[in-house]
Amino acid sequence: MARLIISSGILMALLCAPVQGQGEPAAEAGQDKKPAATVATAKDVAGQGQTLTVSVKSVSGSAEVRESSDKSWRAVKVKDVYQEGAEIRTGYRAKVELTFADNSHVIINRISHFRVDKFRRSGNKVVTRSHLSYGALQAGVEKGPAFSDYKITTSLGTLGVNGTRDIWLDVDPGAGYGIICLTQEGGIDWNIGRGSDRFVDPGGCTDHKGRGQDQRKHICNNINLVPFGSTGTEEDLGSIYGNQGSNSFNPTGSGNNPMATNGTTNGTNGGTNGGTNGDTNGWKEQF
Amino acid sequence: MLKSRRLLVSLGVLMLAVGLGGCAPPGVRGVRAFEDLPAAEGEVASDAEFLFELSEKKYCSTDDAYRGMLYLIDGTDTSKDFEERTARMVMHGVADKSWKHNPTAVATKGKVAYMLVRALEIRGGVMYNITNGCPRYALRELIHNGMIKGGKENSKLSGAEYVGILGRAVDYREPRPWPKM
Repeated sequence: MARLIISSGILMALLCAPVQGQGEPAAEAGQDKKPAATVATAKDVAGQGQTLTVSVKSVSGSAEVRESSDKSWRAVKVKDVYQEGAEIRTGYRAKVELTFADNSHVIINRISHFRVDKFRRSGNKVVTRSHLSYGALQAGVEKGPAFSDYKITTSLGTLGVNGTRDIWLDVDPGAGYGIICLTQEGGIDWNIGRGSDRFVDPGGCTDHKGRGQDQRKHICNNINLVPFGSTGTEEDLGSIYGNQGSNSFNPTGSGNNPMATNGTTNGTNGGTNGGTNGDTNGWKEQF
Repeated sequence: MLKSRRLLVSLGVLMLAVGLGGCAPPGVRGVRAFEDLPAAEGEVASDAEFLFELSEKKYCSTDDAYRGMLYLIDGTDTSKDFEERTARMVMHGVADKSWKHNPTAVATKGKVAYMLVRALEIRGGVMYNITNGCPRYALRELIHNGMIKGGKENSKLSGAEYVGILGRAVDYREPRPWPKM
């Protein structure tokens, strides 16, 4: 008994000894900067349709915007109107709610950097490409008369979110980690490159490794997810992802679906966009 | 026989106490009021700017780590220099006085975990508590609750990693309810 106590005492003392003497790492903190992210300016997409605007619905906390990468940062104000190339960065307790001209919404949450790469109408199609470098956002792509080609690029791949409402996206490129949840309707095709996709149904959550329930328990426990039921099969997913333009959500995936193959198309485009952004930003390759 | 056994037991307990006590010097748990220190004069850089620049750094320095932590605790960082920043961190009981406090040294995950557990007043598990909050067990605690995504006590922290950790720390402190859109 006594031996046991002495042994445990020695063990505990040894266990903690290195902690006390932990040294500072020899390397100095570098000021290495990654190359500036490429911004799709109006010039890049000239002749590809009419540029649309994004307006600020509400703002709280410390949030700054720059109209393009060569301009200086200034505070975000309510009713501000931005175009393609605008970047928004937020502080600790900040929140910026944006309304896109096609009635889609984006709420940029705390500690985030968001960029509108492309937002324009061409015929009956509205193309939106936004980029979340780091942080968290919530988004809803509203149904409307025009077809919406909506994608959010991240360093962890591209999300095709057509006809989708209430996305909760959290991206941490430093840890190579991302998670997405979907509350109400639609579907998300998260193309993480190398031919891998993560599909999210209403009421579902997944991280970039496809760990749904575990991550939901840890991270999404503050979200009131509204499950609409599972689509069940991959055939059904095509219908859900392509239901943009329809005014009613059909959880069974049946019915009229003019964009039934949209999920596949998004996946291809997403891979290209995600890869480009990832390389440019110089983040860790996790996949 | 009985006397010697008691002696051995006492010795064991004493060694245990010395071992644990040496793990982390006793400090103030939790976060004290900010009003104890005077605010610095002059213009304060925005936290959004600080975080954006930090996200592009290859490594997070100790100075950046303290600054990020003060923004989390106080909502601002009015410190004039690293010395004042360190004083605030120690005053809050978030950083340990016995550390080297080298502003340009790369912050480690262990130390950042140590600071976060105190700043957020996380209770911690059994081992964390009986070791009086070792960085090692603080890190394990934060890895367990998902705030830090893996790594070891002396792992160097990148700027982007720290930004991600701070984001989850804000969520921990002020959970985000799902908005009606």
